[in-house]
Amino acid sequence: MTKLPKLSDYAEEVQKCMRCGFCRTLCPTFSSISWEAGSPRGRMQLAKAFLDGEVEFTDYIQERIFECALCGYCLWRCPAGVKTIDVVKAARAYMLEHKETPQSVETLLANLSGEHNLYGLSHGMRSDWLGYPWIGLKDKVEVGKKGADVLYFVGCICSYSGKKNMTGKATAQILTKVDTDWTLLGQDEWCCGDPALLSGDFGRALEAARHNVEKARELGVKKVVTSCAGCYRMWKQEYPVLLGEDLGFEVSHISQYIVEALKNGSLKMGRELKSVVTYHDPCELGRLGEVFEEPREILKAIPGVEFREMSKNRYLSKCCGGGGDLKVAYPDLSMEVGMRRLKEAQDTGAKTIVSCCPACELQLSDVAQKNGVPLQVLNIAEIVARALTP
Amino acid sequence: MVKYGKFSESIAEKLQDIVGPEYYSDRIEELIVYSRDSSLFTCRPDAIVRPMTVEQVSEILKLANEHLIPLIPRGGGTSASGSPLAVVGGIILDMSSMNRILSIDIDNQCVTVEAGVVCDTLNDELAKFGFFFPPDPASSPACTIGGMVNTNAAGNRTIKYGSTRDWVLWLEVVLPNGEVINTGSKVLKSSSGFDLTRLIVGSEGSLAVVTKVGLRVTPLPEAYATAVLIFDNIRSLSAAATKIRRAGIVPEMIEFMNEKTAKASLDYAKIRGLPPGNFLLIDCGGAKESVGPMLDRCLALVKEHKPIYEDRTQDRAYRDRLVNARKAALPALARLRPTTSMEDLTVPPTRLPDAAEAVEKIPARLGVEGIDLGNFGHVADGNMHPTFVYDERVEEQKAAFFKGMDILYREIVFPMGGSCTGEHGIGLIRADYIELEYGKVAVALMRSIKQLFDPNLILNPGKGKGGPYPLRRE
Repeated sequence: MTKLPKLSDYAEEVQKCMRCGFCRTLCPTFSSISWEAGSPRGRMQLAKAFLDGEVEFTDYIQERIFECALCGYCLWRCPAGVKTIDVVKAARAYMLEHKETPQSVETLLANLSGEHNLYGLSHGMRSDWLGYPWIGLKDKVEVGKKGADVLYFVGCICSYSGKKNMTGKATAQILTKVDTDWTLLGQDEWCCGDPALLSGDFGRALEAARHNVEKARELGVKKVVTSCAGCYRMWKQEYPVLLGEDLGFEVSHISQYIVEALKNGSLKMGRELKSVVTYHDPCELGRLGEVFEEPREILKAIPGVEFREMSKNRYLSKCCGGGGDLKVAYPDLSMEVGMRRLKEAQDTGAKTIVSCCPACELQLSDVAQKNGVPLQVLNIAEIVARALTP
Repeated sequence: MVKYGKFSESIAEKLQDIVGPEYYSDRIEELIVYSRDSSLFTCRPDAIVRPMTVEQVSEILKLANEHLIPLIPRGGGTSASGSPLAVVGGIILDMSSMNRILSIDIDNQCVTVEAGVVCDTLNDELAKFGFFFPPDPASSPACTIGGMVNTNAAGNRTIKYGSTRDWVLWLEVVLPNGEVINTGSKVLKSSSGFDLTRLIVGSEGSLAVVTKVGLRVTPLPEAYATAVLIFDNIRSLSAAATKIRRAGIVPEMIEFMNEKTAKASLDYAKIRGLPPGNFLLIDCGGAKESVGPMLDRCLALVKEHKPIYEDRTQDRAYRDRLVNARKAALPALARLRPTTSMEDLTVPPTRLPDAAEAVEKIPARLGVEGIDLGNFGHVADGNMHPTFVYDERVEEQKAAFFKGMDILYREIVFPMGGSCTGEHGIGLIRADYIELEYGKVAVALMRSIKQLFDPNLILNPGKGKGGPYPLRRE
């Protein structure tokens, strides 16, 4: 296991900031906050001032730090290569240590601790979704099957969102259609730890990594597939770092899995879906995970779908406002950020916006509903499931 | 030395009355972050206001003028010269919230924008019509049109399109007494009156506050043909650029990076396979059928200067990567050491090789471990950006940087008839050099003009054009 980082470890990192301001223009929250301290450059300068002893952590700094959506735009844009979002996470870790974390985030962390899910719902309900009448998977999948090739790591949102999110069902349909030998962790699945990591609770994230990886290893699977961008990034990028070792199995996002299946012919999309569709890159899959093309390849391959790109896409894609604790700590700001993204989607003339992350999808649906925007929001697995050749 | 008024609670209250409490701040956290730009200076203001209308700007100026409070306009805060810093305290006027594109008039080839519009944002909008605003500073993702006007920013395309000054038709500005005036004309030609527009462009916020800008715009080139060449010495590279200019060919850009900078930039942009050496980029733009032959002519002309490597492309994506690699010179160098200070000299283009060779010798002359230098720029304009990389926290290195500046300007640039700034402005960092460049009489005249506009010297004090103040080096 590697040493968990502290804010003081980033003293040299913040010194690297050239204050060029490239991070400001498309920062999703700075566009609303508009004060320099609410820009990534401002956050780096505040972290530096704190580390230099020039300022204490104040409520104002707490707000600026927790307003960051951790979308990674500044990280990608930064000419000097400052690890901006790591600094923000480390600042959050410092606040957590000093009991200065916003109450709503503390509640989230308590939920993760007690029930191993985002919502604080009973851990015992984690597999209930399989038996919901609109899912109907209870007896169709063998949970905890040793020796299965693929483990589908469901994630909190698909497990606990009821009818609001059908990604789990669609993913299961696809895995079954491909004739994969697949399984689930069921009650052995814990939250991936991403919300903890983003809140600066590195210890809890490490605990989640240890638990989930151990359970996957016990099953002896060759591959872990996720349908959530956050879960994907945790398994793919963070777990090996947190644990300080190679996981010993592959990790794929469902979009990558689908592309592979389309290429080898084990999956066919023969049903025509007449729709104009745009695609929202989830920050954790796109900019931070560098998976850009697979979802686009899929959408372009669906018969009848007319794919239209939003003006800000791939590395420049704007955050939906649902990530990095923003929705938890500052829901109004999160809505504003989300509305800007939906506006871009509307400008394409699309009727459907597809993404690869249940968190983005819930957020975009929420924003659309509250603002009366007539856009359908779907996960990539859902739209593929609809297009599958019967 | 001018005696300024004391920033008081009553002034703070009045500012809040003008802009509303949510657009005013004197919180320590904001004062800290507004204390810096991209230069190495730190100057703490007393307060920051973010106006949304010209009327608010006018009221703020009246108040500041009445109480003799310094007022410093700021756009994206991207300056590498300390221009938007509150060197003697005062109010930072953050213009970045006045960021509306008010009109795009393609038929008359002009646009009207508020000062806080970001350069790339404007060009993203114009691209939808096949048009653009050509000045292209490397800071275009973040710098504002107001900032570009105030510094007369230029960039890679100056050889063909000139600098910001050449594209400004008219300005709406607020004088220090709060009066709002329009300079220039909203038509494409005018010989009427003194050219106040050209006076204010490049004045670094020392004469008036720019609130609205009328710009000319022009169609985007239909196609590009681009070549990258590597030379084993800067003299041959420079001679090659001169030859192209002499032949009357006007590419979009002719850009260079010295060997050290090219290595860092190409690594940064992940462009592989080029041999080490001095990098020259020739980018021809225009009609589809003309750009290839134009580039052929350029390449035929430069052959006699024996480039060790030559590659050409009409692939747009690769061309953009090459241009971006050149634009990434500063950031790429910034990864080498904790502090990066970019200079901005201009010499007659034919003297560029002499200047470049002398610049390369500066680190050895300084003899201080930990300070080094890269060099890149606009070879066709004779505008170079020697960039010192060091650690400002190490006193010896910081002192060496200032000594390096002195060598650069006193011993290299001015004796060659050059200027200490091609496109960044004097700011704080080059305030010591303006008199060396123009002489006492010319500078006195500039200061008289300054006093005519701003009798109480409240606008952006301490900068080259608003002085006289000694350079703050702490």
